[in-house]
Amino acid sequence: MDQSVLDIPLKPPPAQHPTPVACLASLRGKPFLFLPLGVLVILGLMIFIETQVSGTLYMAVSQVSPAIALGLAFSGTFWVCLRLPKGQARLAWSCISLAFFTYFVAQSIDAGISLAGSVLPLLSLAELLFIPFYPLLIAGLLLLPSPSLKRGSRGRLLVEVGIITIAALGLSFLTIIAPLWDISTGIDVFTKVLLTTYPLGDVALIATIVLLLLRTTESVMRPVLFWMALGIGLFVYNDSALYILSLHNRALSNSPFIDPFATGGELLMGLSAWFYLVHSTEPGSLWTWLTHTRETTFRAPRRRWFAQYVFPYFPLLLLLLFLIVREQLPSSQQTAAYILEGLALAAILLTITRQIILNRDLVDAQVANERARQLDALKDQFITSVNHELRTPLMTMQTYVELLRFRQKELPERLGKLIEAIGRTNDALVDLVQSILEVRRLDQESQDFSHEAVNLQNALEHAIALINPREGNIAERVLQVDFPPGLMVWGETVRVQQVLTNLLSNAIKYSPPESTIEVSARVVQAESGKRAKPARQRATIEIQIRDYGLGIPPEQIPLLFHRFVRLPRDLASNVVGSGLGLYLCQNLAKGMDGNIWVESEGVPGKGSTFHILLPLAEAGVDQQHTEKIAVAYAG
Amino acid sequence: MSISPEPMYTVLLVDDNQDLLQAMSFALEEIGGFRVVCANDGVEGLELFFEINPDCVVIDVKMPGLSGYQLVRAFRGDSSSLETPLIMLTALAQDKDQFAGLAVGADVYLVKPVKPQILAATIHQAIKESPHERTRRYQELVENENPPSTF
Repeated sequence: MDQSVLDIPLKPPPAQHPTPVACLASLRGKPFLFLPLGVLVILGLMIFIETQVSGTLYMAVSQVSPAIALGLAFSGTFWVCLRLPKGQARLAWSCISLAFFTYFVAQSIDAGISLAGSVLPLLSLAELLFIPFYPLLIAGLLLLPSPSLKRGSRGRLLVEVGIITIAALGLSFLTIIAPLWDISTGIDVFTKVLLTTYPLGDVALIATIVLLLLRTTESVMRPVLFWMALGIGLFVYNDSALYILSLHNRALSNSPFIDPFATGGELLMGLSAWFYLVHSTEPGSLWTWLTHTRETTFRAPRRRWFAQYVFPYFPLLLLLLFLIVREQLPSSQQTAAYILEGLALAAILLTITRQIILNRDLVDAQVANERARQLDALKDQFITSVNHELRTPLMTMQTYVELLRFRQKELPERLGKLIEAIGRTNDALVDLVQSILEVRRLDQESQDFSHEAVNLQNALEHAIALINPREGNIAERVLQVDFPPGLMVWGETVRVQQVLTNLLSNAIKYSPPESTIEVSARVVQAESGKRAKPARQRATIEIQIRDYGLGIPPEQIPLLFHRFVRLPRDLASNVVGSGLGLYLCQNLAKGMDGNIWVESEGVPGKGSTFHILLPLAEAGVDQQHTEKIAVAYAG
Repeated sequence: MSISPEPMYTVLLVDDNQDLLQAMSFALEEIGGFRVVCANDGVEGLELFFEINPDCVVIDVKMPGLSGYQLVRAFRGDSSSLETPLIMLTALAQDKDQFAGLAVGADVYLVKPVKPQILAATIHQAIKESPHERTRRYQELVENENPPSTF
């Protein structure tokens, strides 16, 4: 897997005493809404305060509070920078941090001027420092490492953001600005243009974030992007309202119902950095709901349809609209007319660029696909040949080890122990090689399993007996079994045992020794009617094996059933495994007309539940009873 | 009445891997109690076979030059070697290879890695069940005037 934001570990915090991050981390599990609600409360408070004060005091409050909020945002993003190792993620967050820093400096200058009692000039040096915020933040967001965004996609995203921004500018120009353009003589053209950049920058930012949200898949980034989007949303309101009001009143206008929203927006954006530090992936939280909404409302086919049939034609429609309006404009507003034409032209050019980038991406994707297929075939060949090459030296070594074991009695005890250790390792190696062989065989032989009625209880008992002591902790594990007696499935005895052994073995390997493992089975009644899927038209038995271990991150679940795949977390641990067990189980289950799948939240302590579906053999099901079996492994 | 001792069987090993040959040789002598003769390739195996007339031959399938399969066909083609049990040893486990091995005329097909105890037991069983061994036992019966009481 490519290196993704998921894999980049944050360096451990420098000090041992509770840091602010640790305090925030302790909030994990509690609904995170109360932090943004706090922002809402502050917002309300500020609106109230600002309606009560006026003059320089008002200016002071409305300039200083954003400065404080920005200071918090900057410190949050800077902290993230410090805790990330060198690389693209750090670069991205440095850009974001720098963006907040320049904005903070600009805002502080303005705050200083207001506190000094002077009137804020419309155009100050601070204005120049406000502007870099937008390109820096966009650059930072686009730089964030994300394997779901290929290289070309970022360029295309920029182009699309350009199109959206121009459309926004054009439409707002048409509807709001043009009527006010020539009227307001109190403000010069340059200032008018400058004031336009803020709402535009906000639109560009929010477009970037929304597109990123729709296209990235890493769950860690979603809260960050979401809170940034909300913050910028408040900004859009703030800047647009300010602009329109100023144009109306011909002077820079402040209002208690506009200014606090800047502070609110900044606080929310700052929150995103803190969320990234705390890394929340709690289920039931706001972004689980968001993800769900994204998946159902903005489904990929729908998104594709929109991107293919609507979006490219949008600038053409704008051009038409602008041309029509241009004809209607009185001759006194020629400047406005020219601006509209220029905008439409720019939008068309950007659309063409986007199409070119898309085509190039398509060709790249086709080439990559072909290469991937070739590599897959090569991988199979390689595994076969390596497997073959391994067997002869393995046999040589095994022969000598067995010879030594044969003569073990003649050797001193200490040497005998060493030989025993070598022997065990050798056996493990042979097991591993054999399991690879099993996979190759399953791949090639046709699924001609012979079917018979298999007693589940017996199969389970045999499966338990078959568990390799090497694979499980040699300790007493509590196994809670809930099987209706007399339950029979339609399949092959050996295969059913194999699947159960594999899953139980995994449950033991990947959960702490003190935790329970639950095995249960229930009959799933047949669905009747035309809408029932073919597999469900017979009665089936669903077996569930639940462990309370580390769980499996939901986005990694589809990969688990592939050959040779082990989770990165497990590869780095001491647990032995070949990555073949689940692949084998799925093959076996499907061969018996069943299925196998897993449910997990990825939360340590909640573990995972593996479900096996197998056809029911006969209707001999009595009433249920639960048994607790303490299974001791003597090794 | 004398109990005739278990005869010491001779096994011919044919494999191109020298290390494995040595290991198997030691193990079969130690654990199986056989007398072992090694051949490093197919041609040498053929020569040694007709020289020493072993009770069993263990053949590796993949060898350069005369491959294991060709060797088995050579043995089965000759009337004197028709009944000697042949055990094929290989790293390739695909079914079609197994089928090919048996169709060619081998008796047993083992997939590496095989524990020496299992190899020894397989050789013992193959020898006891082979027509070669049966013939020899009859011959001993005829040659000894007193039939051995262990029969």
